[in-house]
Amino acid sequence: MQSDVVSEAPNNSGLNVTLHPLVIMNMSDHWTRTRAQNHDASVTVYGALLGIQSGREIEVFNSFELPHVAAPDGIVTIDKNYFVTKQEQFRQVFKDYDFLGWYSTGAWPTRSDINVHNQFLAFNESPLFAQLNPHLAATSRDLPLTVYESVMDLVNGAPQTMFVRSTYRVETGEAERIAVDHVAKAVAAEASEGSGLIAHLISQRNAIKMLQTRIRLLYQYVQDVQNGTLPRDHNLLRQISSLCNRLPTVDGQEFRKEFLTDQNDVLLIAYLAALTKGAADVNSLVERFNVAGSERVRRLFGAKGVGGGGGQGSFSGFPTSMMGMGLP
Amino acid sequence: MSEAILNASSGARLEPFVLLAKTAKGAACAKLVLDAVAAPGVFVFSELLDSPNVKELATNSQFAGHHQLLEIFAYGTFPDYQNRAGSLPQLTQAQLKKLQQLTLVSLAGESSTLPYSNLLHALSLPSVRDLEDLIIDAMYQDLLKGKLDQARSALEVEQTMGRDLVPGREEKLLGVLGAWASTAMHLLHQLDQQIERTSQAAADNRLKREQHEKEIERARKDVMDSGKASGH
Repeated sequence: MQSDVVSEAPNNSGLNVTLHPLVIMNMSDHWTRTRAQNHDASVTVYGALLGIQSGREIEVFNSFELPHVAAPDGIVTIDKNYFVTKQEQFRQVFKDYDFLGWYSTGAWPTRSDINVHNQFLAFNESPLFAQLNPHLAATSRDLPLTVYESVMDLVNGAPQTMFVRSTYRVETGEAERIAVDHVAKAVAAEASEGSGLIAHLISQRNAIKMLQTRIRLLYQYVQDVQNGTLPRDHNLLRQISSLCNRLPTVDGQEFRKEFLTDQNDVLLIAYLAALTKGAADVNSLVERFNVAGSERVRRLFGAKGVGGGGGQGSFSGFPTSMMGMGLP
Repeated sequence: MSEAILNASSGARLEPFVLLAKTAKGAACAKLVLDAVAAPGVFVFSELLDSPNVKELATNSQFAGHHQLLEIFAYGTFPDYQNRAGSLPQLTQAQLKKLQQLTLVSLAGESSTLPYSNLLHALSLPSVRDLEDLIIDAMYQDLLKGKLDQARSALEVEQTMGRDLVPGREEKLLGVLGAWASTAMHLLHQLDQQIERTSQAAADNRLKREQHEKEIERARKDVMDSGKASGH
């Protein structure tokens, strides 16, 4: 179904829109959270997009959520005061971020979106509109996100704001990639037995599992060709043989030597770490024992006034020598 | 980059020759074969070998050599040509170079480290300089990817194009793929064991810690109780 506020005219603004994953995660998180709180799948959320524009390059780095009021007749009003305050706060932290546009959820833009869009015109004369479609089938490979620009169009002689689809790229900075990765995987890591190792092993296992099914497929294909059940496709066979020529990927004396060196180094470091940890544990045990012991000595002999200090000294000699052993 | 390499395996460049072979017969077809093996960028010949007119050449006593030559370019190596040079058409400089490069690819499939001395012998090249020129040209033609190791005088191959497969000789492919699949299977098995062991260890650890906490709690209680008892 098409929307009556989206113009089919080709987009010739020449804008280069780049989205950062943080923005997309923010939008998705905002919608999911609101939906879970209201127990309502048809909820719509609104927010602002922040980033840097230089010439025709637009880079959206961040976003924040906006409260809104929906009148009974479906007209949505954004809380302008909140928007202005929040924008000023952002400006204090990120000096070079400008307000670039806004986002909302839905399958396609509606008249209500045009109405909201017009509310933002006061802050940016040509804001972007990013629409996240939360109801798209999960099997779709594309991101369920569309970016629109607005144009003024003449409809039946009257000027009207219309949306024009714009293309966008998703780009990630190195630090951002690590952080977003961490956020996306945090849930999975906590669900497992409290060990990151298992999560790591499982993801490796899945990758190898997939590789194995692919190899099986190739094997099956070559076998079928050999038996004549499948037609012989020379291009495919050549590609398979090229793949086979790459194997084994690693062999040779040098590899084995370096591999062993690396393995030994890693094992040694793990061993040293365990040793250090053990020494630290012994040390703290001795210290505690010492405290408890000296306490007892004082209680036993302190009243009679006999060598409490001597007792302490005989104990304290022990941990120092332990420390000397434990920390090379 | 890896896709660029595979392009040399593509039959697209051969396509015009396959089309022409539909109408060319006898001497014209033999000429076509010579053109194909000389054409730049054409490194695969299976499709041409499959065309009926080319197959006919094999039974034609006058042009059987051309058919054999095409087979050598498709599956064979430079030494194969040398062994039968008497009964085969003379090679031009371009054809010779191409066959040598194809031989290089075949050799690279057997071992990923190729000493210069072996290559010089297999390709009958007079000097290392010629050999390196040949290898560098092969790299630019997307036939193979690798490093020239001059210190050890060897060629280290990372990846090669896929040459034509002799019909009915798929065992080698099946062997490699089978071994690969079983290695992957083995790895999966190992990983499964490792995962199980790790989660078992984690569970054990937790149990031990809980027991330990309980013991401490009990000891603390004992101390408190005895303190109270002796205090009174």
